[in-house]
Parts: sequence; structure tokens; C-alpha cells
Amino acid sequence: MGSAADDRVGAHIPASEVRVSEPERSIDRRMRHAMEVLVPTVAIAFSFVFFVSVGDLAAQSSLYPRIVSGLVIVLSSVSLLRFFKARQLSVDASAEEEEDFETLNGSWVKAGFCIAVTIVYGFAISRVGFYVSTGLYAFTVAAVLGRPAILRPLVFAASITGVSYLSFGYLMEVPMPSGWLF
Amino acid sequence: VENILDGLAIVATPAGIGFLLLGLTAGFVAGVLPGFGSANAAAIALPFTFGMPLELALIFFISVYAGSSYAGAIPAILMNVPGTAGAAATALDGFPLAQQGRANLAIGLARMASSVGGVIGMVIVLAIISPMATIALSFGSREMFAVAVFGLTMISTLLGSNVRKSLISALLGLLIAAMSANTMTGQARLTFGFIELYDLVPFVPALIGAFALTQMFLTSGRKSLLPEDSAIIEDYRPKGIAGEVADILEGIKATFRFPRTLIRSSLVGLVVGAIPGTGAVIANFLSYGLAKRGSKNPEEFGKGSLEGVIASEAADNGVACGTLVPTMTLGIPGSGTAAVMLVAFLLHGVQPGPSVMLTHTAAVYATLVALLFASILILPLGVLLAQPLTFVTRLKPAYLVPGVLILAFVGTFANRNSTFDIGVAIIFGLLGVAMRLSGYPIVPLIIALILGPIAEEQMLRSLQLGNGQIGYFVGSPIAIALWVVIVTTFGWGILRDFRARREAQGEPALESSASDD
Repeated sequence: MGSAADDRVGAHIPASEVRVSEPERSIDRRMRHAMEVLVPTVAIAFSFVFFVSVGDLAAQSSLYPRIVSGLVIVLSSVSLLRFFKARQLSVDASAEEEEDFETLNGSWVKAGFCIAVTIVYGFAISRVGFYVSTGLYAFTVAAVLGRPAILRPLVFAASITGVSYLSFGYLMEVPMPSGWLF
Repeated sequence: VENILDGLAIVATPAGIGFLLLGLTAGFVAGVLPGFGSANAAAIALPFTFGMPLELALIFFISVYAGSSYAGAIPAILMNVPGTAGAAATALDGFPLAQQGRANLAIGLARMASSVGGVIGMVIVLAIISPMATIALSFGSREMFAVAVFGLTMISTLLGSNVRKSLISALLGLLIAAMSANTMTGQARLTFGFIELYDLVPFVPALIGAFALTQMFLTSGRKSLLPEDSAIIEDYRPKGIAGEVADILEGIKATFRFPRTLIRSSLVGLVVGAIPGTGAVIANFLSYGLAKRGSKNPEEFGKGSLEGVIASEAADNGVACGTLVPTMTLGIPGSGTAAVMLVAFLLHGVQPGPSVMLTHTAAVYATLVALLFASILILPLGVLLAQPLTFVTRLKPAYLVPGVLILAFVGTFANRNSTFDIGVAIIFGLLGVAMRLSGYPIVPLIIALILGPIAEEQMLRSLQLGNGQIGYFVGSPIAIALWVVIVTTFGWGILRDFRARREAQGEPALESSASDD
């Protein structure tokens, strides 16, 4: 394809240079459609909650968020309407804006795993402790995203934990979160 | 001239040059680490400057700033992860250039444009620092509100091909920024009981989440950072000193092929940087947008335009110069690094403000001269450190992703020693993934986060000053001019969208029927 989409911030390698099977493309398309519904829906819900929650406040506090949340609700509703209208007409709703979309080239499982482990890591560093959770996190992600091997991820995890300790904990004396372990 | 010579006398000492080089190197490292940035590096270094003279501390901090402004372009070009917020627009064309196997040219361009942007900006600041301060001072509430709306309008209409989605992104950013205690009434709004949100959503973790985390999440499924084209991989290899010198020369030639873009972008960076609260992100994209609009080949923007890289980088380093104007003359920090510099003033018993220009003239001018020197030294030092800095591109995502995410978390936590900030970064990372996968640009949201509090405060203040009269917002020539530009830009964006939709109307149907066949 090599469209402008591939060249935007956060864009990936042009689709033409990535081997993606038809089922993977289909997954990408379905996920994209799901996200196209999810983002404006969440925006509407968030704006509605904001709009209602400032109702009891003084005018000075509520005027600005009410204007902004009202605009978000209107524009997001238009986005949703356009999407469903296009679906009714059996037209790819986003085809005209194809160049703005990014895809994961079918690698949703790996990306999803990485996101899930990162969320767990984010919570773990303040409970288990930064250095232990960092070692475990680095090993898990490197082992799953890379080639199936134990030694390299293990060396990587040990190295990055050691370097983190030396640079941040020892040399720069950045107080990292501590927890049950270290 | 006497003041400049006084400043020069301080910088041109072994200690002055030593701290300048040390600061530049620290800035390079900070800039190349996504999400880390010069403010973090400067803040970490702050305790080490207690014992040194104020002038040397300021030289160090401003060099960190200059070094990071340039180095932020390196990961933006090579990895599509802006090292600093000011390099976000650099990625728009720098990364496509790298994909085309011209990464070293892009870095050469960034290096030269950064250097020239810094030099042009600094020469002008040295000449007109007082008038610039007067201009910034003359901006009242209505002008500042118009500037905030102007920035958002430019970003929403110039970024992406869908104004509606860009606007939703920007408005969401404004709304998230409003999740705080109102500055005038002190009433909390949708803070969910988190005391950390009373002082606005923390910007550093939001930026790290929206840029670094999002990018790493999207990268995590890939086998390699580089396309599966061996020629491109070959071109990514560091070329060594000789190759780097050749790239510098090519970068110099290519940079000076676009003198208008270079000068305009440096000036945009300078002026926007001089307006408190705006900074590198706005200057970066404003300059990029203007370069695109003024270009003979606007269709190349976003696909590897040399002008795009020049516009972004010259503006980024121009901002570093402009930021010093409100910092030194008004005591208002234009950026995180500038805030650290003001803290350095306080640590040395100097109250920041207009009087600093009179009482510590030598220190102020030493800082200005140091930035001029740093802008020039980016060229040779950038060559020497090019290889270690580009090493990162050869890493596999399996190691780069956890490495960058761990660094991002360290930077996030180190900013305020807060685990709450880590949660904020994760939320923005998830938001960024969802938005980018559904065609909503994330940059307007981030810019709106910065402009939101300014816009709200200035809007309410203007309403108070104008007794609730809307006419007050267009009650000055500057405000009128800004609103005219806002309306024109917005109208142009809607018209462009409308035309694009009409042109594309037939294509989806054809595409659909073709797939049915």
C-alpha cells in the first residue's frame, strides 16, 4: 500500500513490506471497527459523566467543562452515526480515511500480552518492589516477544535489573519504589 | 555588547566549557531516551549544582536543554518514538525517511537545522530580549486565550485528514485537563477523590504514556524495528566518522536548500517559546504546519519531506532560545527545564523576576551565550556521539520494548516519586493505542492537555474583565488578528475535509463491490 498512513507518528512498516495473511487482515479490520465504536462511545460516556458531575458547582467551575463536554458529545455522536450509517450501506466506514489508521498486522495476541503484563508490572512495582518486578517483567516480555529461549531473556533481565540498580539506585540515587521484597 | 562580552568571559573559561560539554552530553542521552527529556535530567542534576556558582549551573542546564532538543530527533527518526515532545513532528517525516533508507540524512538534517535554529534564535534573543519581554507582557487574558485556541485550531486542522477526529482528540484533552481543582474557585471537578489530580493531570506521565508507552505497545507485536528490506537495514548501520562527516555536508546542503523554511521555523520557535505556557510542542507543529502550507511540495509532508524535518527541528531549538525570554525577564518558566533553572536561581538566593536582568546581568547573558555555543557544538559533538546514540536502532523489539518501558516507568516515577503517575502513564498508553488504531490522532489531545488550563483560566478571566460580554474577546488588534486566523484556518480545514470526502465518495463503493467479487 505504502500510503501516507504508514508514515505518520507511530506508523508501522508499510503493509507492502510486511507479510500479513488474509485472516490477519480480517482481524485487523474487525478490531479497527471495534475501536471506532469504542473510542467515541467512551468519549461520550466520559463527557456525559463530566457534564453531570459539575452540575452542582459554581458557574465559574462548571462553565468551561460543560462547553467542552457538550462539544465532545456532539462530535462523537456524529462519528458514531457516520460509522453505523456507512455500515448500513455496506460501505467500509473508514475507507475514505484509510490512511489514518494503524494496524498491528495481525499480531494482536503478542501486543495484548505485552499490554497486560505491563499493566501488572505497573501495579507490581509499588507492591513487590521495583527491582524484583523489573527483572521478572523484563524476562517475561523478552521471552514471549522474542525467539523461544530461556538464556538470552534471562541474561537480558539480569542485565537490565543490574544496570537499573547501578544507574538509578546507586549512582543517581533516584528513590525507586520498594515493596515486599526489594 | 558589554553584557554579551561579560557573558562570553564566563562561558569561555575551562569550567564554563567543561559544564557546557557535560550538559550537552547529558542532554543527548536524556533526549535520546524516550520520555526522559531534559527536565528530568536537569532535575536529577539539580542537587549536584548546589555547590557551584549560579552561572555554571545555568550553563549546565541550558546545555542539557539544547542537547536534548537535538537528540530527541534521533529516536523520532530511527524508531518513530520522539525522545522529547518537541521532536514529535520530526517523526512525521524523519521516520519515513529512515524507512526509505535515508536515516543518516535525516539525522544530518536534524543536526544542522537544530544548530542553525539555535544560532538564529539566540542571535535574535541577544539583540532583542527586552522588546520580546515587552511583547509577552502586553499579552492579556483575551490574547492568551486566543493563542491557546489558535494552537488547538492549527493542530486540529493541520494534523490528520479528518478535522472531526482531530477536534474530538483535542476536546478530550481539554476535558482531561479540566479534571482538577478550578484555579479560581478551588472546586474539584471529576478528580475521583485523587488528591494528585487537584493540581491538574500530571503532564510528564501523560506524555510518556501517550507517546512512549503507546508506541512500545504497538511495536510489541513486531519481529524487527526495521522493514524486511535488507537494503534499508544496511543503511541503518552507523557509518563511522567519515560517513557522518559526509552526512553533515549533505545535511548542510539540504538544509540550506530551504532557507525560508529554516528562518521561518527558527522564528516560529523563538516567538512561540517566548510566550509562557506554549513551548516546544506547539512551536513544533505550528512550524511544521506552516512549512507544509508554504511548501511547493506539500504532498511530500508525512512521507519523508526534508522540509518537514527542518521545520520541526529548527523550531524546536528556536523554542529553547525563546523560552529564556519569559524565564529571565518575567520569572515565568516556559518549560520544565526552565522551571528547574528558576529553582537553581532560588537555591542560590536569587529571586527570579524582572529584576534578575539588572542584578545578575552576567549570569543571564552567560546563559544566553552558552546556548549560542551549545547550538554550534551540537554539530561536532553530534558526530562524535552518533554511533553510540544510533546503536539503539539495532535492538530487537523483544528487548527494546521492555527496556524502553522500564525506562519510561523510571522517568515517570522519578518525576514526582509517585506511583500514581505510573498509573496515569498506563492509562494514557492504553488511550493512545485505542485512538491510534481507530484513526484519532493523539497529538491534539496532548497539546490540549497543556493548553487546557491556560485556556480555561484566561477565558474566565476575560469574562470577568469584560463583565461577561463576548465582545471583550475581540477587543484588541492582536486578539482580532488571532481570531481571524483561527476562523480562517478552521474554515479551510472543514472545506478540505468536505472536498476529500466528496472525492472519495465513489471509491469506497467500488472497493466494497470489488471485495464482494
